[in-house]
Amino acid sequence: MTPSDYLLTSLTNIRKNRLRSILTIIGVAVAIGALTSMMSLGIGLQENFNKAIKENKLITQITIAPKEINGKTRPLNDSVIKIFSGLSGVETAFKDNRIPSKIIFREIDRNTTIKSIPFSYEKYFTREAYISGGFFQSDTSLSLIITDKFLETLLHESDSTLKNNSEKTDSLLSTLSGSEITISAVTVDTRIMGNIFLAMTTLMSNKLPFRDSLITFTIAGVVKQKNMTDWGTGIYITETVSQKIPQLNFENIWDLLDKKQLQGIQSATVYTQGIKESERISEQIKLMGYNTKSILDEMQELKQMFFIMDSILGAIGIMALFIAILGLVNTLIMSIYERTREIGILKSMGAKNSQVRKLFIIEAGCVGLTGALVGIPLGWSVTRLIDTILFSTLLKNVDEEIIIFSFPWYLIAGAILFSIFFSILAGLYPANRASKIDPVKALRHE
Amino acid sequence: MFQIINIRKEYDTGKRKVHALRGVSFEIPDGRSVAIVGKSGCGKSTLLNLLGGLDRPSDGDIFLNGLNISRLKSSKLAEYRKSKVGMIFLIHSITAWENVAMALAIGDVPRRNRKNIAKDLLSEVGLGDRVDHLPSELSGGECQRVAIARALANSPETILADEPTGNLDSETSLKIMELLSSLNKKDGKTLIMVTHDIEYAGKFSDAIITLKDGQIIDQL
Repeated sequence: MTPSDYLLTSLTNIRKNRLRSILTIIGVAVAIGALTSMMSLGIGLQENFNKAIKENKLITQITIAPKEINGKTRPLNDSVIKIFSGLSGVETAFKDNRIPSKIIFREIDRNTTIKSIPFSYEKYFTREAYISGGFFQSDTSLSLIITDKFLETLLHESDSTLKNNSEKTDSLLSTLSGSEITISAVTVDTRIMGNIFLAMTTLMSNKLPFRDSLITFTIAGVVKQKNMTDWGTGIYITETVSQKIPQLNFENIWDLLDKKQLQGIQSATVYTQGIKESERISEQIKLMGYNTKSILDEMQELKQMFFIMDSILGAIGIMALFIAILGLVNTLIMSIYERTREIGILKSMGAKNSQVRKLFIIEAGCVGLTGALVGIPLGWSVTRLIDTILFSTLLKNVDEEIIIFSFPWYLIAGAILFSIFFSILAGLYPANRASKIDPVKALRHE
Repeated sequence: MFQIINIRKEYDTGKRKVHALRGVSFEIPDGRSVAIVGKSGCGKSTLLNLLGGLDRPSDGDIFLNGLNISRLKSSKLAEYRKSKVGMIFLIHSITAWENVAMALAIGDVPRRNRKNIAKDLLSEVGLGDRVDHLPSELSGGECQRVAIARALANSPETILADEPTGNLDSETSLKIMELLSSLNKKDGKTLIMVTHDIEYAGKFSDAIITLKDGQIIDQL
C-alpha cells in the first residue's frame, strides 16, 4: 500500500463516521484554539516588551555612576568617559549633562531640564521616531529636539481649547518643526560677583547675583517620547551647544552644597554595539570601580517571568488538548469495535499488522491535522474578538501600538505539528490494538 | 499442491480445551476442486482458516508446493494470504470496485491500474454495470460475486470459500456455484470450499472431505 492509499483509506473512514469524526475534530480544534490563543497572548506580551526595548535602545544602554568604596569615590570625569569610549564594543559614551532652564514658547514660560546628547546619537533615531522634522542639522546649530508629550503640554498651556481637541493638537505637532523656542539660562552675574562692593549691595538688598541669558533655538524635530530613553526630560540639544549655554553647575541647592558633586560628573551613558557587548562592558566598567545599571539586570527576571507565564498558559492549553486526545482515543477504539470484521477481511487479503497499525495512526494524524487547521483560525478569531473588545473599551485611549496577541508563523507551524504529534501519540494504543486483532475472531465478528 | 499432515487445532476457552481438529491429513493437487462438509462445529471452517493462513495449527504441518505455511512468520503469512490464496469476503462499507481495489492496493498494484482491473474482474463475474454500488445496494448473490471478484484480485492459485451459498436462494446458489466451478475448470484455480450442501458438493467438486468431531470420517 502506498502512503496515499493509507491517507485515502483513513479519510474514507473519517468521512464514513461523519458525526463522530466531526465531534472529535471539534474537540481537538477547540483544544488547539485554546492552546494557540493562550500561547499567542504570551508571545504577544513578550513581543510588546521586546519592541519597546528595541525602540528605546534600552538594550544597549548602560548608565554609569560613581561608586563609593571604603569612603572613597572614584570620580567620573571627561578622561574616564574617554576611556569608556575606547572600550571594545562601545559605540558611544557621553556624560549626562542636564541644564536647569526656563523655556519660553508662544509667551508661555516653563521651568524644565534640558539634556545634552552627542551628535553621534543620530543613529538611535529612526525616521519613524519623528512626528515632524529630524535630527540636528549640525553639532553647533542652535536647534533642539523636543518630545511630543512635552510640546503637547506647552500647546495646551498656550491654548486651553486644544486640551479637548486631540486631533488639532496632533496636526499642530506635525507642523511645529522650525518654530522657535527661547531658552532662558540662569547664570551667576559676573559683573556683580566680580565686584565685591556690588555683590554686597545686591545681597543686602535681598536680590540674587544671577542673570538670565536668553538664547533662541529652532525646533529641529518633534520626536515621539517613547523613543527617548530619558523620560525625565522633554528637550534635547547637542553637547557642543550645551557648552555654550551659561549654566550653574547644580540642579538644586543641595547639589551646590555637596562637595562630592563638584569633583566630577554625576552620571554618564554608554551605548554598546549589541546585547552581548553590553554584558561584558557592564562587567568591565564595574571592575573599574563604577556603578552600572542596564536593562540586562532586569532581563533575567523578566525572562523568568515570561517563561513562567508561557508555561502556565501552555499548561492550560495542554490540559484542553489532553481532554481532546482522550476523546480521540475513545473515537478510535469505538472505530476498532465497529471495524473488527473489516480489519479481519483486510488481514485475509494479506494486510500485515504494520499496515493495519499505519491505517489507524494516519487516521489519528488526519484528525489532528484537521483539528489544527480548524483550531488555529478559531483561536485567531477569538483573539481578534478580544482585541476588538479591549481596544474599544479598556484600551480606547491608548495611542501606543500594543500587541496583545501575536500569531507568528512558528506558533502556527508548532500548533499543527503539536496537534498531529499528540493525535498520533493518542492513536498508537488503538492502532496497536487493531493490528493485533486475531483475523479468525475478527471474521466471526458481526 | 496442498499437503496437510496430521494437523491438530486446540482452542483454550479458559475453562476447557476445545479440540477443533484432531489429526487431519490429506492432499489436494493443484487445479482440483474440493468440498469440506460436515455438521456445525465439526472443524471445517477451522480447517479452511488454517489453509488460508489466517490461523496456525497447534500441531502438524501444512505445505503448499513445498512451503510450510504453518511455520511462517506473521509477515510471511500475510504475504502468503496476499498472493497465494483468495478468500471470499466482502467489506460492506465501500463500493464494489473499491472492494476489489482494496485487495489490489494491498497487493501493491499501482493506483492508476486499479479501477480498470477492478472493473474487468467485476465484469467477469457479471457485475460490470454495478461497479459503483455499495453492497447494501446489491442482492445477496451479487454481493457474493463482488466477494469472488475481490478474491481473484491478486491472481491467487487457490480460492477458499466458506459457505459460498449460505443465505442464498437455490437459483442464485446455483449461479454462484457455477461461477466458482468455472474458475476451477476454465482458469485452473484450486477451489476449496466449506459447505453444508451435499448436493452442490457432489455436483461441483472433484473430491469431498467429510469431517466429524475434528476428524476425517470420509474422503471421496
